[in-house]
Amino acid sequence: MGRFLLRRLILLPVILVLLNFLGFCYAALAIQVHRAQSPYGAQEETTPQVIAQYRDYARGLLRFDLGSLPVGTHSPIGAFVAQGLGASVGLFGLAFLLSLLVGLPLGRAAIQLDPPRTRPWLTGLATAGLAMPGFYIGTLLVSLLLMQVSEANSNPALPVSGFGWDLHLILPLVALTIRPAVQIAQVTASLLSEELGRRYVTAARSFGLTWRMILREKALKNILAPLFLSISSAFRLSVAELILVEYLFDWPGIGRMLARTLVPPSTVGPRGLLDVGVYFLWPPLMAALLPLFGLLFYLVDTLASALARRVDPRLGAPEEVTYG
Amino acid sequence: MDSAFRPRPASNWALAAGLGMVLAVALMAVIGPAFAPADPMKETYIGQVGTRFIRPPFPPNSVEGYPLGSDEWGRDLLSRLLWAVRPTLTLVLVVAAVRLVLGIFAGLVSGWSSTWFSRLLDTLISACLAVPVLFVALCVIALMGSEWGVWAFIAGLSLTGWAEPARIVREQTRSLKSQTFVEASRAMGAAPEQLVLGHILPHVLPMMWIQLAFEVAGTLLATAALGFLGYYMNGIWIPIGDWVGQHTTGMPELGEMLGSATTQRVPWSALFAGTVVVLIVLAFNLLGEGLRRQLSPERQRRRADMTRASARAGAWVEDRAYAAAAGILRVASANGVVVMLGVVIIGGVWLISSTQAPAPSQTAVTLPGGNWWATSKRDAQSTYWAAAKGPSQPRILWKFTTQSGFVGGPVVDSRGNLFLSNADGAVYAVSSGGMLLWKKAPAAQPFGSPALSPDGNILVVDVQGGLSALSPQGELLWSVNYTENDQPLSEPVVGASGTAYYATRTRLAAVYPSGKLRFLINLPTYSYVDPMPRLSLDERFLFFEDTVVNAQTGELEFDQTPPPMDSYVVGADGKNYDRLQDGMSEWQLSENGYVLIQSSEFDVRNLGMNFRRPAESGVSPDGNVWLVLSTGFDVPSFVWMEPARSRLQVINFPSVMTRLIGIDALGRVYLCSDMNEGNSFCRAVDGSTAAKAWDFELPEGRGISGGAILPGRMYVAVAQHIFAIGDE
Repeated sequence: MGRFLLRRLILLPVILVLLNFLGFCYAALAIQVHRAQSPYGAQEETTPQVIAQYRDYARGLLRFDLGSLPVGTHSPIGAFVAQGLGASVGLFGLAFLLSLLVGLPLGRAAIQLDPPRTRPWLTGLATAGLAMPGFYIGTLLVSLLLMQVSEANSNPALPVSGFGWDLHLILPLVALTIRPAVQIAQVTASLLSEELGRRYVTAARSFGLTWRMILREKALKNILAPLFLSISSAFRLSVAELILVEYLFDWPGIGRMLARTLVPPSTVGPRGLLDVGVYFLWPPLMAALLPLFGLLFYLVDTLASALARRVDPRLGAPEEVTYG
Repeated sequence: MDSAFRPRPASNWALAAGLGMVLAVALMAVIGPAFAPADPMKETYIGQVGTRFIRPPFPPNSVEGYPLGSDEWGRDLLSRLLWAVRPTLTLVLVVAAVRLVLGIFAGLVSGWSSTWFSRLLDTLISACLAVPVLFVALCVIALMGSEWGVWAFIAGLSLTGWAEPARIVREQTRSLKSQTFVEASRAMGAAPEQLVLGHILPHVLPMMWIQLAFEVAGTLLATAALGFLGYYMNGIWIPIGDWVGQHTTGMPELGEMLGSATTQRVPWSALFAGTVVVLIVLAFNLLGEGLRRQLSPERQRRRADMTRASARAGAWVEDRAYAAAAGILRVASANGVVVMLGVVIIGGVWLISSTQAPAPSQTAVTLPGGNWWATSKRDAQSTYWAAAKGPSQPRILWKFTTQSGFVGGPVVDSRGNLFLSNADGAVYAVSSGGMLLWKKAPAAQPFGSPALSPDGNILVVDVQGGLSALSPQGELLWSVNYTENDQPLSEPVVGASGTAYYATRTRLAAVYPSGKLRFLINLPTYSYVDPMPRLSLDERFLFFEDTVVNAQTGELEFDQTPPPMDSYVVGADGKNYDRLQDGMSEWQLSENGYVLIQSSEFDVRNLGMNFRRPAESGVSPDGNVWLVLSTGFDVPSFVWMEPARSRLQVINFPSVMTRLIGIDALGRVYLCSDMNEGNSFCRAVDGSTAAKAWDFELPEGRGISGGAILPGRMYVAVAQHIFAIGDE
């Protein structure tokens, strides 16, 4: 386990530097492509080579200067991204925790014990739930609230956009929670029903053990490893949802930042696509965001793998097995 | 377990429901547009609710004729939804099929061999699975940009999307690799390719039906997410002011309906489009789930009907009939997958390509005398539409230089010789190889481009309002001035009879081929934007701005029509049109007078062009409308409208000083621009898709004075040079 974690930690800075370089170069190249396609045609100034641009940027990076946002704001990117990270981690963390709190018991409740199988209602619920992306759920909620507003001629009961660790949190939280909760419930139920169909469970039942004891002592422990790995997979998919939900509710997190970096604004100006407040394909910002997302994926994957190895030693590397 | 006690299999409700829903979706895609109650592109500015008038967006069920409401431009949402399913489903099916094909290939290689390449593929599969498809698609589409259109979507969604089917195929392959029948085949001398293609693949392919269903669902979700963020097909960039351009929508598509909806103001548009997306995803998910259950080995064994009758009979049936049936099903299923993938990919790519690839449109306006380019705008109807495909490569073939600059563009006769007017007072004749043939001065300094008569004579208006005729050999035939030295307003146009028409500041003149005056009338209007006389195809009428004059007698037929800034033009389809500020109306003359046939318009306000006037305009041979809109102070915009497909494309010219040279038979627009710095440059761009064919900076010169399009060639007059550009 120790070596596994050490290997992962050693790889981490390499991956972050690589992502930083790739993100910068990607944005620097892509913006040149877009400038050529801009409605304002070939009236753009020439830009230095990508590698030369990265070299200048890297010099600043060594001074812990991540660059600043483009013309008009000049805010330091470090502070900008840190602020967004806080907003995203808070929202996403809460949503994921909630989805675990809802999904795991739901999956357990959907198990029919004798014979062990998943109850049909969960299949239906999961199929419907997985078909509904977070932005659709968010749009549905917003529509319902606005309908209520138009009928009652009042303000919406919940804020439909904006940031705040208050009522502003509710709609994005709900939109972000439902799909992973349903996915986790389905995975849990599927793993449990398969586990409860094994012979050792039949044997344990014949010895008089109750279902509760079997579940608590054996079955749940045996499914933990694949469950952790499935949850990390659900986490990755939820990151894509985060981008859309933050965009919908105007939540100022790194998801919305990434969307604005990758999606051109609906307006362009004579400078092409870099007008005030717009940072589409801004290389230093892309260079900061890509490693951040990479770090999130990497840490969660490492955590899930470490936990899986902890509960199931068979998943450990051969050199970690000691012979005494 | 005794087969007689196998429980009756539960009904596969997922398969039934999924199949039903998928069929409904397919039906909607095929015949949905036919049931659209309104034109999905038709905009409405105001709606009536009782005695109240409201502006769009109309909420659902508030205004009659809009059951689901409207979007911000007053376009009926129900009609747009019915139209939107087809292009979305086409794209999604093509992407899903591409992913499956790539995944099957990668999975087979990765699962079968254990070389470094397969290990690399394993790593690649894991890496691709680690990153969400939306993330990758966003990066790819952002990189490729709008020029690639739908192909950017296919590339972005397929780049890592193949990993999931590859993983499944890999696991299946590894599992089957160690089966006895495979080992037996290997022992009998089968080559690895035979084993993979003949044994592994047929077992893998039936599972791909299931995977296809899930891939379609997944791809549709990703497409919807991209559309929600603002990446969708048929999006266009248009300027909405002096310094600002806006991204807006074309033909409806589900992603576009999600993206263009302002969720806070018009939530129902995104809601309805989102609901349709969810229902389609649900349909395919249910279908996939149902197929998975149906094709599971346990279900195959649980055919209770015959096995319950007799245990022995059941065993016999299971061993013989079901094995055979399963084999037949597997083969049929495998072949079916191959056929289906082939149909979807080829059909989908063809369908998508057919919306991109232009087909040659032959102009109805032929040039008398076989000339290639008879006036500055190609013909006496000023259609700009060349009879052939223009240059596909921007290569300089030759350059001809004079001491002084040219004052107009070239005209090209049937032998390929060029004729141009120069500031030194002469008309130049240049061969198709760039050699000077002759140079001759008419009575006075030429004005603008000359024109060619059917017998090859060159007619040129001069700065004193006179008209001269030169023979193809450079001999001055005659020179007349009936306008009392009036300042010229237009270059000449020449009809099939050889009569030349031109306008001066106060006169409109018609001159016979002999130089004798046909008629001279006062200019029918003093309000002009594009003061070029145009002959109707039957040469019955002479159009000047919004007036119609009898081309034989000069009598005014009718003038001063109600629409502002309208002008009579002739399309390359030979029909007469009234060009409005925001479209075209086809008309013809009957015993009842002026009769409007049909009209095609677009909303200048929403395109931000309500302060612009049409500087040039025309109609393609197949009825598509184009206009060049400009204020004279900002970059002009070329608007291409396809009424039959409700499609609109806007191309912004590179600079204020841009000149349209012509449009070739493929609908490719050729233009040349003078930039703020550097030499002039020319561009070829597809009118209907805005895809740039090429850009080419001219080696020298600034000041475009005109050009001509010939088969595989373009001539451009810039300053004192004339360049021949194009294919050999």
